[in-house]
Amino acid sequence: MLSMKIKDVIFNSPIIAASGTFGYGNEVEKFIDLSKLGAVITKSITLHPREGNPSPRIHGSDSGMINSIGLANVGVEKFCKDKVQSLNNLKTKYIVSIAGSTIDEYVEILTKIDRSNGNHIGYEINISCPNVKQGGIEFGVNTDIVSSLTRQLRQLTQKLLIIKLTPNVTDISEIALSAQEAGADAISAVNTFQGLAIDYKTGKMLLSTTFGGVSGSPIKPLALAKVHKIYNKINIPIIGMGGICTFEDTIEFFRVGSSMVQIGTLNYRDPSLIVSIYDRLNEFMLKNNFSSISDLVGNFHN
Amino acid sequence: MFNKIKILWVMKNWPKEYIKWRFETAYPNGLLDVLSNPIQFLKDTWAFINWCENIDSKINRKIN
Repeated sequence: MLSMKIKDVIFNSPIIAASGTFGYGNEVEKFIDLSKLGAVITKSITLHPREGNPSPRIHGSDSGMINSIGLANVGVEKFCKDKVQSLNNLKTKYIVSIAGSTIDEYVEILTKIDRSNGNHIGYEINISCPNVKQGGIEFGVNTDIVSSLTRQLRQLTQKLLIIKLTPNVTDISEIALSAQEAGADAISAVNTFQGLAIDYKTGKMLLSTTFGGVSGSPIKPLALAKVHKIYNKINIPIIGMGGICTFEDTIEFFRVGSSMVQIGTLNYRDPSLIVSIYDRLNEFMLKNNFSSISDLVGNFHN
Repeated sequence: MFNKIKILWVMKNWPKEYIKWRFETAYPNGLLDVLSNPIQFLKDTWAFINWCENIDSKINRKIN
């Protein structure tokens, strides 16, 4: 009932743990029933190891969060050597998130991971990180670059190719369309909104980088609007995300056009909450005689 | 205060690998930064618990 198919991959749940909020994926398997997740997306992997930005780099803002972690990760070599094997034993599928500073870097990272013995089902291409000086969001705001990057990566792999978009653009649906036309299998929407936090007493910025990415429940209406716009423009699946805290929120995302959803910031509160959302969603589907998530997807538009 | 203790109590179930990753996410040098700046770590933990309470009240308001 809760299964969903994208390309030739069948997910047993429409709920995915978002990149950067669930470790590399294997840290939580001892206390969470991962079989209730459709997939886990790893922390974004870069060509070289990164410490990320200086502290402070996370600030809780009301019921949301603003962060400028800056893609802290072990780098692709160590990822392939130390992480892939344990990820292969997860009780759910996993998707590798990759991030680069140049198109060549994306190509190199994907090639290295594709040659590892990982049984990951695909890649989420992070072209939307607002917290790095080079790459990241620079890619995600330009249709020509998105198109060129997607086309090159498409030639390298037959696994799922998911492009993760930034909402910090004039028209997100144009960016999504360029990814679709270049061969993407799905769109993840949306990454964080650019924001800033300041101490009103001292005038000091609360993040070392001044700007950061806002996530969590305050962005949900904004994210829903972006998904709605994309749904009207493209015909590949959308993996919706942005402020999901309850099973009701997931249904809102399905109704505006998401085929699957990602949960991110909530995992910082407690990584086991994502499983309770699955349980509540299952109850809702049974109680309301929905036989499939597909019955809900985009039915706002009917 | 009871809520704050409850939040901390649940966190005792978190595996050490996961806690290590959380430290590495919050601080460039992970546990090393925690140990070398314990006061800052306590301040951050207090802020985190308050943030958890905010999230809980939002979730509970919506469900109930």
